[in-house]
Amino acid sequence: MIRSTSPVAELGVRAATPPALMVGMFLFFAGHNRPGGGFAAGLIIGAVVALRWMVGLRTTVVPSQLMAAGIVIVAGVALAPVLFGSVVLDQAVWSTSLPVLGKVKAGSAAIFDIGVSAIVVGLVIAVIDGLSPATTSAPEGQSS
Amino acid sequence: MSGSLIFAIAGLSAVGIYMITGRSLSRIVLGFALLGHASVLALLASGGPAGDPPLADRTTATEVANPVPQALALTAIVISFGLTLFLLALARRQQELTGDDLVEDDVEDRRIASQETP
Amino acid sequence: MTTLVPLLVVGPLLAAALALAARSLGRLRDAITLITLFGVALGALILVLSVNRSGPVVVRLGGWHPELGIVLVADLFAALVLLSATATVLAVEVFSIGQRKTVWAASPDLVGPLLLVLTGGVSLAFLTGDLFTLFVAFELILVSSYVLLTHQGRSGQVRSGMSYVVMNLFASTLFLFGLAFVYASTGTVNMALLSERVPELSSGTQLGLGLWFFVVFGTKAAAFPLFSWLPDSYPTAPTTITAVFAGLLTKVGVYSLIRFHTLTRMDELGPIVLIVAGATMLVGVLGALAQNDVKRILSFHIISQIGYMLMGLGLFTVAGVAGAVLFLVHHIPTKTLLFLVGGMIEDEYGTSDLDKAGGLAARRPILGLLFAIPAMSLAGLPPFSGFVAKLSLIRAGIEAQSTLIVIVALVVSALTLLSMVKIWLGVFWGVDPRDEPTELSSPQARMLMTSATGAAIVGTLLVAVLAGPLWDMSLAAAESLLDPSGYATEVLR
Repeated sequence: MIRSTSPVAELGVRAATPPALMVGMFLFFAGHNRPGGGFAAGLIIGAVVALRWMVGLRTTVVPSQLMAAGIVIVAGVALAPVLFGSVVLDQAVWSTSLPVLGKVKAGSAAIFDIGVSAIVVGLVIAVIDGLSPATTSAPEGQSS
Repeated sequence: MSGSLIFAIAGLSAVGIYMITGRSLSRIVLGFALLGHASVLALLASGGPAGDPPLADRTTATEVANPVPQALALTAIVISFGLTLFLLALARRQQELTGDDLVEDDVEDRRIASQETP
Repeated sequence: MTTLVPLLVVGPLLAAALALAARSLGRLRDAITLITLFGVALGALILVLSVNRSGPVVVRLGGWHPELGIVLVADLFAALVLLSATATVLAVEVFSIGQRKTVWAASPDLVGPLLLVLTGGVSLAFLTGDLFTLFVAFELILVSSYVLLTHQGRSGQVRSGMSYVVMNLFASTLFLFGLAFVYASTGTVNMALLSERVPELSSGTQLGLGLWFFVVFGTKAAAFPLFSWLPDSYPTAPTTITAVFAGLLTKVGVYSLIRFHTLTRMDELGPIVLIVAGATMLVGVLGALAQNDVKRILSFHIISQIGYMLMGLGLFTVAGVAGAVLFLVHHIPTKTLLFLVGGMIEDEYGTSDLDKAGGLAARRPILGLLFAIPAMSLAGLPPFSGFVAKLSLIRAGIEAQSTLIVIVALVVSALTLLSMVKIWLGVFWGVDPRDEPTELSSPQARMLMTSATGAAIVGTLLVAVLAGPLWDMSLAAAESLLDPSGYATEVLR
């Protein structure tokens, strides 16, 4: 583990974390019909985790559990249409009107994207763990 | 297909292949990254002439670029991202074990090849 | 059926995630792994019976037309190979639970989930109806196998893992380029559409595509001269892992070769495939004769057996392709079994070196039997499954009047028997070189390992007993492979 020698860097990263996460969230929701999406959002959030790790702020998330949760979500969304008598990977879109936000549209693809993001973040954390000098165990797999 | 794409693909492939013929795994990783870019460009080029970004509600069917190769290219990028990370982890492991990151010969094979014929 | 087919792919992946989440809870993890693998094998059996009765099953994911979306196609060829593969993985998982008590064990909290990912990837590769998904399946298989190969982090494993990774990754990159070429020339990567559009291309383009994919899939299948990664990497992995690899990985390459080259009617490539097939057989078996280590001998035999399957493809006749299909179905369990027995020999002596072993037949007669049956089957002696498969291939070769390849196949068969005898003499006969045999594994663990191997042997014997119906199915599969218009209508309907 790299200990931060610079309080400036640590403070900077701390300050940058919330806006960076905001950008990640924006990309996530923009991805429905504009550039962005679950993968890009996952990478940004993963990059935040990596930056925080570099200045010594470790996360307590277990990457394998995060990846497992992501795969369960993705596979669940893929298989769910079968329960309603449709084909695998079919999607549903709901739209409704909310008081302040106006017309809101939500698709089952958004849930799928949450799973994708979780897998990507988990992978990034696992790789950081695997490449860090502190680990003496095997590559990627062991540490994940 | 534009000439610049062809040159980019050819250049990236040439450098990439040159780099993966080396013994050092870190060079091989870089070589694969370049080859990955070349193959993604090739996929893009396979979709025909350039057009507007294939986003819903932004363009008409006649001016849009072919979205299928773009989807394939995206998937290929994601996969090569994961594989590059894996190769790096492997290089690091090798460096921890042996102090360098060279791809070595098959030990058993060398032993059998050096046996004296009876 | 339209639910079962995607479930065979998504099910193992979902279970892998659950097993990964439960990886510190040993019992739960094992239960998830075993139940899923059993379910997948059972599903594959149901699929074979259903497809045999009422024709191929086509599933359009998300309801998209094949031109744009992903389709899963389960025809007889896919279903047969899938059944053989999944049943084999199930036996290996039981074996690995037994082996856990020994020093050679792979770390159990990773093997279960990764085997499931591998199974999902293999099902996807067999069932997919388009080339790009096949690429994705290859990557899924390779990533899980890279980790399985190197996860113990021993220096030999990391070293040999690197040559494995580099060779296969290069093949994957070529695959991507190939996809770009295919898309540029035909405007699709769907195999049913390709079977209609590729024959319309100019003959030069056709030949180029055929050769390009022959190199890609040939590397994955360890065909001559692109096999060097295989004997280097396989023997260093833990036995259970090697056994799965030996049974499945190269076979996915062979499967893709047969699928792609028959669908796109690459008959012109026949002579080239036959030359490569002959060279693969000879080099593999000669390599095996030079080795002195059980696992390495068996690894070289994988290569020589790949040659037989390529021979069936290279003939491009119904009998030849049917022989290749049957050989594939027989080879997956047989080869895996031999590696499992090799692993038990390693447990016994602490090494798989022939010089450091001996006299095992007296101490463990059952192990001798377990080795002898698949070994004779591999060499093609009657009445085992290998005999049926080889006989059909050789008959097809004679029918097609390809005398040279038939002679090579017969000679290689004899040499295979020779090297099996070499293992037998080195390990089972003679005297134990150790002064005082030590027990490296507990009787309980041996029991589980022996019964898993025994059950798998019953499986291969079944292949021999059911040779009649299996041959009929292989013939039907080969007929539909060589006349892809039926496949195309079914998918595009």
